[in-house]
Amino acid sequence: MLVAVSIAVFVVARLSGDPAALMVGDTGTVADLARVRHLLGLDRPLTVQYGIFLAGVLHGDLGQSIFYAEPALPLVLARLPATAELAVTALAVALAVGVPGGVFAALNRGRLGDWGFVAVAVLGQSVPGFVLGVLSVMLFVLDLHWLPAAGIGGWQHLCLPALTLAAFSCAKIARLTRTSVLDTLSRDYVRTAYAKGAAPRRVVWRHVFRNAALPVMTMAGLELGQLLSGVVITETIFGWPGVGLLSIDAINHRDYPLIQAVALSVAVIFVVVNLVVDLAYGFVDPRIRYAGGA
Amino acid sequence: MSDGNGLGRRALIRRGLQLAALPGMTALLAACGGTAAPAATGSAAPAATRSVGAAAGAQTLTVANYSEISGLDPHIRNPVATALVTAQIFEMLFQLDAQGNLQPMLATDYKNIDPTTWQIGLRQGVTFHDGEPWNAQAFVANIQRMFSSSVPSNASSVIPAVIPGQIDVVDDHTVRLHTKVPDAVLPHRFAAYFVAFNSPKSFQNQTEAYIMAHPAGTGPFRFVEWKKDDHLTLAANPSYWGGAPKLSQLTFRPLSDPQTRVSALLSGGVDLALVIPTESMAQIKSNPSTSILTSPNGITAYLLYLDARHGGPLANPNVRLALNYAIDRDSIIKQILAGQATPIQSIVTPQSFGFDSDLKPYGYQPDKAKQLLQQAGFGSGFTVPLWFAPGSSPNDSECVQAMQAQLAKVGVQVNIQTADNASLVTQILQGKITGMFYAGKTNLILDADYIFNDSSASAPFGQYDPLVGQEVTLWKQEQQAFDPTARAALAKQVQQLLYDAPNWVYLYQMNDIYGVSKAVKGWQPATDELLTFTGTTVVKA
Amino acid sequence: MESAAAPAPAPARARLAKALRNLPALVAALLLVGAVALAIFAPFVAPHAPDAVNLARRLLPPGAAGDPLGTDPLGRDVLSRVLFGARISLLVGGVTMLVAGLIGTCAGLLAGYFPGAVDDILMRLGDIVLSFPFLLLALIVVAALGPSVRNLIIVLVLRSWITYGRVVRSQVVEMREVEFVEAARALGAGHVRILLKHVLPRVAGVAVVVASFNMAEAIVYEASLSFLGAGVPPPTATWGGMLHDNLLYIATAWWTIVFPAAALTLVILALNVLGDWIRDALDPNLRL
Repeated sequence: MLVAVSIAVFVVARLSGDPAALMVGDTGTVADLARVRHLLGLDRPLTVQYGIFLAGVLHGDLGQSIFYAEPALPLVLARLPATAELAVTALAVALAVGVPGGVFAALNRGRLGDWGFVAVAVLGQSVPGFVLGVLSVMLFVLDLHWLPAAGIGGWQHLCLPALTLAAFSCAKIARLTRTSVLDTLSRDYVRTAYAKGAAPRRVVWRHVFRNAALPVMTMAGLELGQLLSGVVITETIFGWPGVGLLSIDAINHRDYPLIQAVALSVAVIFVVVNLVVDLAYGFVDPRIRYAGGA
Repeated sequence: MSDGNGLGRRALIRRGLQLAALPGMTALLAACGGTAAPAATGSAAPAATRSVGAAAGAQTLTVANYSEISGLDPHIRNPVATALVTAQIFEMLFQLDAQGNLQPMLATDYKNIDPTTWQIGLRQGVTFHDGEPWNAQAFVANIQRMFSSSVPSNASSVIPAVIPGQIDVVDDHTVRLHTKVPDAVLPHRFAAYFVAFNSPKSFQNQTEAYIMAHPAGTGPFRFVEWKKDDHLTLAANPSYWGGAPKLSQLTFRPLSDPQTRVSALLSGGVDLALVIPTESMAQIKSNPSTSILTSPNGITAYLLYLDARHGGPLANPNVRLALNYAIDRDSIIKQILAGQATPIQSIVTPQSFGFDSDLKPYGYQPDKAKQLLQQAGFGSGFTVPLWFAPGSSPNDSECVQAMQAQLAKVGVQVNIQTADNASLVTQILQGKITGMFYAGKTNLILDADYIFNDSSASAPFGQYDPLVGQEVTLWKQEQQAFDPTARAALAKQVQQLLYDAPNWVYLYQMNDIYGVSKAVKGWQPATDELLTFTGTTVVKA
Repeated sequence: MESAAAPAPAPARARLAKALRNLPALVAALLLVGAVALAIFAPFVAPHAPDAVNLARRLLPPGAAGDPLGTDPLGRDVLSRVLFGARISLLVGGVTMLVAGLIGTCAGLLAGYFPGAVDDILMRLGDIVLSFPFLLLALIVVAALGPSVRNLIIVLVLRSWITYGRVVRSQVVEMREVEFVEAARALGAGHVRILLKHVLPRVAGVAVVVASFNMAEAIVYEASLSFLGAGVPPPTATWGGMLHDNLLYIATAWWTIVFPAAALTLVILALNVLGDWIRDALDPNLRL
């Protein structure tokens, strides 16, 4: 699977644009371009270039960034903590707001609270991240002067990018939770519990919530892929030096080795995280076979 | 170049005002309004903090750059956004003032011995940041690296006539250069930021990674650290030959989103924000602690390039003249660019050597354009693609769409085509674009000759419609005219030819728009876009 | 769901409650039909051409003569651009939904019905797509192919099919062992016949639900790609493009942002409400 990712990225990235052209710029001559292409090894056949890349990968070497002249993989790894900080916070916020929100909506099904909640969730899903980011900066930075506009640092720096990033996932998780809880509420054991006269609050927390949590967990794992996509925009708006900005730099420069390194690293992370979620799932609830939703 | 007094940009700093690197001292300085003059310490500046705010050390200045830099090797991968940073570290032989006149930098004088031999006196007593001396050997080593076929450098394309293997070292601080052909523009070429000088110890027998991590120039600031996509920190060079800068620390932060730069400036996160969108000027002006500074950008002329290689309407001289009359530059400038641009009718900007100020603006004359199209046999119009890379220059999308509407009025139907910057540049260089494309023409040395060369058949941007015939003849004469008056006169003749039979649709020259914190004193924008901070202080209230 | 479980003892109230429960879905459906109709008939409804530049009339507030929703930075009528923008945004969303739905449903049917190699290959392909951040994939592909409506749809389809594929597959897997399929097989029906006549109708509902969410997602992605410079080239109006192009004017000319944003939100809200409703009607236990 990783090989397929690398071949796809390798070929597609090379379809347009050329790092040599960007290095030569508008001042170089056509002869300069040919010379630089040769120096970078870009004049060799694609299969040969891919062979060299693959040979490197087998030795744990993803090649050297063309523009930064440093090994590509460490460049990506150095950015991971910043992105992880952002993505994990966003996921935590999304869960912390989305899950109770979803439970609340489900318990108030069909009432005003439910509709209001669904409307807010849809709003969160329909406002593109870049609009939300700019609006939140206008409010919290420029009007209220509560938070800094951009950059990485303390929690103040983390607030706006994490919230912006969380919005979309939060809405999605909330809606899933709502469905999930509604589903569980209709199950026999819950009805039995109510019939036996258990306090509603107790039923909700003991039976409903715990069972409804499982699909939400699965989705949280998949949602990480979504978040890693969202960081591209969030990091650009907030000048957050993570993998998202690095990948934009890499694509803008057509820094092929760096693009490859980002693609492979992210793919590996995605696979590992979902493996961990699967394991955790079995750990939390060994009796349930699960057929995960998308 | 903004000093405007004929002196070099960095020549003014001789007041003995030097600054303390000790944080306590700087805080004290801030409290006193920065009027004290403490002795310089040779020690390193305090380690860069991750904090966005520059509030702690009053003598640090944070700049919001509009792009992350491409590297710290002065000889390769250096678009303007990169040069804004590297030009703090590395210096050239000469620099240009606001009038386009040559001023000494790492060279103190030059002499033309015969048409192909130049003698250059190098500044004495200058050391690189790593302690190595600036001398003839360093000069030769740098020039040879620029020409080395194993370095992916394009620096040599600025000084193509130089014979790198034949540099005579007269003495420790005097060299003689030989050129393949007479080149009257040579000293000007040594003002291009590509032709900057790095310590030989940094690059000789070193890997590119080492070179990037150990930049050692002679400039007013030296390299401290680079956290990519976060910040790049420079510290004052206390032994700078032009006098130590007053700032102890200079930080560049790459914020590619324009709205983010504006917000960072307004919230005090940065002191100077580059490339402010016109839409945000009012907001910055109305903020009590920030202001707007503008300066005409002399290095870039915006044009519609016309591909004349494939015949058809764009190869027809009357059509090209008609297109120049069909664009309403004034209304685009007034309505879209908020007045922050000037119409042009020459590829040589007014700030450049050899500019012909006698050329009259084409003006907006749609009827004349229609008439010319009629004469050319395209009275019923034609359809043509127009390429541009959205977001690569201010308001580009709006400007291009306005031109599309204006051209439609004379019957020219424009199909707008977009590509991201990397693929557009690649396609332009490879000669693959057909139709028109919207781009700036860059004149790094503010000299007419540079732009003629850039428009010749062998240049990537020139290949679409190169100078021909009399244009080339006059340009070659200009290149060999050692008398400046004669050279300027020849440059004007070329511009007249290019005015009567234009190769491009001339559009405008834009102003660079800077958002500046009012705490920043003694900083002015320059027409070549490079930033000079040697006389700058930050006085926080 | 409960409505099916509880046969109405108090007919009038129950009917009212049922109607009220369906009201949002009805409104949503009407809204979507209206949006599609406005998009199709935009040339007749819009007061101006969407790309009629008039620099002298730029940034006029709503209510200006002839421009009920004001004008944009190039003096174009915002209402006309929102109407014409609906064409592209709904086209991108709709075509993505149809093509990805078709491919994904087929893939899901095959993968679910033929366990083993077919299943493995299709699902691994899907994992590859999912393991790569969509916006990066989109940036690279659009950079390679060039930005256009067609290429935007290609990228979105590339990403979306697997969502249908996975959901449909899990449904088919459950169904495979169910009696009627076994029975059909025992009666000697061919695979194609079984898939089309027996399995497809039973998974179609699920696919429709996925489709409603997928279309909403595609419309938002179009906007995100505009921000990254990989959107539909100007002067074509799209809602995402309008949001991005006019974002800097938000403080000075709110109408250039608010109207396209409202259109975008309403359509997505409608799609979601409709999707929820179909799901509840079909199978309230479906997790999507």
